[in-house]
This record gives sequence, C-alpha cells and structure tokens, in this order.
Amino acid sequence: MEEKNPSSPARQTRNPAGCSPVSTAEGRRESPFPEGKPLRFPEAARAPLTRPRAREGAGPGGGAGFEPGGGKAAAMAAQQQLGREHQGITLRGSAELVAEFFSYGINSILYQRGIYPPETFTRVQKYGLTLLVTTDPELANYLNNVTEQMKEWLYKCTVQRLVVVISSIESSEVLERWQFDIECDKTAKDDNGPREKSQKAIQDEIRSVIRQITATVTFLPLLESACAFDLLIYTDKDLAVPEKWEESGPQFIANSEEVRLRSFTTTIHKVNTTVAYKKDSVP
Amino acid sequence: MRWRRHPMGRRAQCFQTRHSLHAPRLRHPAAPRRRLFRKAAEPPELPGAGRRRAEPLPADIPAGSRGPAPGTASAGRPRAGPEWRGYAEPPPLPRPPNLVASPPEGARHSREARRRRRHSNRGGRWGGRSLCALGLAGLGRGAMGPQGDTSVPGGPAVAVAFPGAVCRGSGCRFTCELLKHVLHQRNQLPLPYEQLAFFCRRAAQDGDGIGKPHSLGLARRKCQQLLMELEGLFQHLEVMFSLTLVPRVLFLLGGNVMNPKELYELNLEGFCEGSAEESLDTAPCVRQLFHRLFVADVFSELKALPITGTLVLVQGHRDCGVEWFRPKLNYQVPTRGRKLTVKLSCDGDLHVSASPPQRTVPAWEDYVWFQAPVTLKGFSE
Repeated sequence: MEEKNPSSPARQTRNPAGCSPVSTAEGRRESPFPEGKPLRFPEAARAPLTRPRAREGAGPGGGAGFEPGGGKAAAMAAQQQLGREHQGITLRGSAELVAEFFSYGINSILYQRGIYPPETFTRVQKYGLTLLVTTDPELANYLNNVTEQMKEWLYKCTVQRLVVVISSIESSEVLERWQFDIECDKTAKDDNGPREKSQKAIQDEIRSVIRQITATVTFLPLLESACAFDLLIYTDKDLAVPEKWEESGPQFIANSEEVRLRSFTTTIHKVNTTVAYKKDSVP
Repeated sequence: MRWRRHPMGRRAQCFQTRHSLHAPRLRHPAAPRRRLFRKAAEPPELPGAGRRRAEPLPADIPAGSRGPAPGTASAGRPRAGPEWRGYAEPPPLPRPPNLVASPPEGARHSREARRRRRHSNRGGRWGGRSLCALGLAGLGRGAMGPQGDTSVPGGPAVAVAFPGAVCRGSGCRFTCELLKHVLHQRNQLPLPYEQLAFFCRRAAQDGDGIGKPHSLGLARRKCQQLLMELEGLFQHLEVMFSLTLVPRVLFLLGGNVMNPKELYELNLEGFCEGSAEESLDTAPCVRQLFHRLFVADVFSELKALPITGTLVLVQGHRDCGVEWFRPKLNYQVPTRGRKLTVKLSCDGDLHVSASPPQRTVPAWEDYVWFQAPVTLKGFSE
C-alpha cells in the first residue's frame, strides 16, 4: 500500500516520556505516518452525559438518531456496491464498511469502558455478535457526523488514523487511547473492477476485532473517575480542515502500556488497532 | 421375572425396578466382586452385598471403573466423605479363564464399557485390559493426580507466573472468571456474564416478557436459566475450594465428558495462597491472567462453536466432604479435541505463611475428579 512518507519517524506513536513496554499479539511495528497534528471534533470533548429512557426493541441500527454507516439507504448502497460475494469489493464499499466498523467500534468502547451509563445502550446484532449502541440522541448524532466525515475521507484515502482518547473529567489526564491506524491502497481509485474479497471474510475479521475490544475490559485498569472522550483524526497534511473540526495535540498518555489488537483488511483499507493505557502502579 | 429381596430392602427394589426391562443378572461364582456405578445417586453398598447377574462381567473392565454415565441425571448426592471408602476397590482376584471378553449384547453398562474402551484404547482391540492392569495396580481407585494423569501434550498452553503468593480464595476467583471468559469467547454467551446479568435483571424489572414474541421470551428464559446455573455453580465452586486443594479444573465444551470438542484446563499445581497481609491482591492478578491470555490470542483463530453444553470438572481430595459435585473415579482427561492449558504459578519470595505449591502435596492417589451435576447450555440472541 502506498505510504505518504515511509521514512517518517514513529515518534507520534510513542510516549514522549520514553518507550514503554509493548505487548503485542502480532509483534512490534513502526508507524509509517508523517508527523502532523490530528484534527479534533470539539463537540465530543464533553459529550453530554444524559440519561434518557432506554429504548426497548431497538432493531439493527441502534436507537434514536443512530444509524451506523450513515443510514439505512447508505447501508443498502454499500450492499449494492459489494454485490454478491464473488463480485468483490469496491472503494466505495470498502469506505462504507470501515466507517461502519468505526461506528460500532466506538460505541463498544464507550460502553465497555463505562463512559456512558449502561442503561443508555441497547443491543443490536451485527457481525454475528451482540453489540451495544447508544440510544442517547445527541451522542448518536455526533457519532453519525463523524462517521459521515470518515466515510468521505476513507473514499478519498486521505485519512490515516482515528484515535479515541479517554480522559478524566476532573483532572483532564489522559487515561486511555484507542488508536485505529488506517492504510489505504490508493491504486484502488484508478481500478475499475472490484477487489476479490468476500464480505463474509471481512466480517469475520471485523468480528475478531470487536470481540477483542470486548475482551480488553478483562485486563484494562478500572476507570474509577468520571471520564469523557475525544475523537482525533490524522489526515494528510495538505487536507483542508473542514468546518467544526480543529487542530489538536496527540494527547499521549504518560507512563503507558500498549497492547495491539488484531487487524482487518478489505484489500483496499487495512485497519490496525492498538490500545494504550495508564500503567498500573500495582503489579 | 422374580423379584429378589436385597438386604438393603426398599432401595434395592427401586434399583431393580429401574432395570426391570433387563433380565436378572446372575453373578458368576468365580467372577471377582465388582462395584458398579450405574448412576451417581446409587447408594453405597454394604460390604458383602452381592448382585446376581445372568452373565459374567467382562474381565477387562476394572472394578469400580464405571463412573456415572455422562449426562446422567441423578437426584441423589453421593458424599465424597468417609463413606466413599466403602467404594474402594476390593483386592484384585485372579481372572477366571472362562470369562468372555465381549460383553453381552443389549447390556447398558456394557455399551458404556465399550464406549469407554473405545476412547481409551490406543494399542489394540483389548486396550481395556491395560485399564484393568492399571486398575489392579491401584490407579483404579481414582489416583488421578497430576503425576498419574498428565496433560495432553501438544496443546497450546498459557503460563502465568505471579510474583508472589495470592490471596486466599483466589483460585476460585480465577476459575469463575476464566469460565465466564471462555463461555463468551466461544459463543456460548452473547455478552460477557456481568453485562448479560445486567440486561437480564433490567428486563425482568421492566416486565419485558409481556406482549413480546415467543422467540424473545424463550431466549430470555434460556438466559435466566443459564445465569441461575452459573451463579449456583460459582457458589458451589467456592465451597469446593474451601474444602480441599484443587490442583486442576476442566471446562469441557461440546461432545460429552469423555470426548469433548474443546477442553480448557486450569492448572493450579504451582499456585500458592497466602494471608491477606503477605500476598498479592486478587484483582491485579486476574488482570494479569487475562492480559496474558489476550496477548496469546488463543481464541481468534478458532472456528465458531455452535451453541452446545459445557461441563465443569474439578480435582479434589476424595474425602473432602463435598456434596454437590459428583465424584468420577478413574476419570481420564480426554486426549481428543482441542485443548488449551492455562497454568498459574507463584514465583518470587513466598512468605512462610503461604500454603505450599500443590505440587509438593503428596498422596495424589487420594485426589479424584468431581463433576458438576449441571450442563451449562449456551444460548444466542
């Protein structure tokens, strides 16, 4: 896959205080991304911790205002793009799939880490799993906006990383950092034909990642204080900053430990997931 | 059929009633006296009580080797206390020459015996004779200690070494947490246990069973039943761990107790528990265990497992006095199917008050396998 600047240092992926021990399932890897300040969607910093009545019987797609992948019509369009299994996947379809993964993945993180009350989530079936999605209308609307923007950037292959930063509301200390590195094969823009990879195979890989996100709660340190989350997106340097977005710092964690999750690929977009967390003082 | 009155009286009559479809069996005068475990609830026989059988028992099945049939429902609660000494194997007698090797057709215990021989037979048709020899050597008494029943080689293993002794009661906590994790990772629970319990409780409080489709109500009932069974199992595990040292725990997914599809073993032989002052807290050690499991990534490559039943077996002293778990004398850890071993140990400086590692415990022949009398049936939404 084409890299913007393959010789760039991986400094932005490390703790400024020094290298931390990394435990990975697939081995240590260097980040190919150039230096650049991430973009932040300010409304996410203090997403309202409202407690609406939980909506029962919410079907696939979640509760009010939440429609993963940008809506049912877009999901149907993605399906049409994908076509049957043997027809492969296109750039548009890949962007839809990856954006949809981010929607469900962020919802899972927010639920598993207790950022929002569990009664504000409802269960839906996706990827052969039972996933939790928010029913908070404001939060769902916010996530929809981010998803739509991600879809566009994924289609243009201008996004390189999505980061979910969890920080303490009281001290503003960054406690966790979920990093989704995106590698895009830009030659797919010029290709007329779809890539040969079935949706089932992609969904199997995504399922493994989502299951690992759920499994991280078994060893991640307990977040004892009230927390909020931020969304940071690393894009190409020459990309114009869209409205409602602002430049931000990387928001690294001091004295962190990092664990790598599994990756998945659509043959056009590849997503690698890593979680960094504050190291326990207790062995 | 003529009813014979057994010295035990009424209980024996009930026994005969259950087997009324079979012809009465006369005991061969030269056959060694055998103890048969048809069901776990079968009361202990007094020494000297005999059974009459129509055909001699096959010699290749050692006495007392027939544990309770897998999945057999049993209402009784055999005690694994001093009364179990009554089940001890009698001194071996020379095998009479005129015993037939093949069990009679249609005999339920013989079918089970054939099944057991088939699973244990490796070297030939009469691998059961090796079992008999082992039984005669005393291993038939349930001496399934780690030395005598080693884990299956070749399966993946995850070893976690804690830098010291762990708080008392941690062994039970590790067992319960690992079971919850395995059930969720292997698709037997749609959500992690705590999250599932939360939603189930909330649904019960909201009265969601009213006006809902039948399928939804059925799933909810399955969920509630499974959660109740798990909760009960955790409580009984806590009792078990308080009564005896537990060197090993098994989770068997799918198949049956002799031939599961997947086998997960928690090895606590090198595990040390100490007082609260000089030992590590349980919670960080649990996180360390799951961190190690996560990094090892032992579940991602596995194919999806359909909804199936899960059995739990624990090793404990035969005289521990546990009531809920059913002893399975002469149980052999299955050698087929996929297996994962999670081995916990305690390294570093151990305080003198810490219990010694279980590997230093002698008398492994007194440790037997106990099976939980419930089959955890998974469900999906």
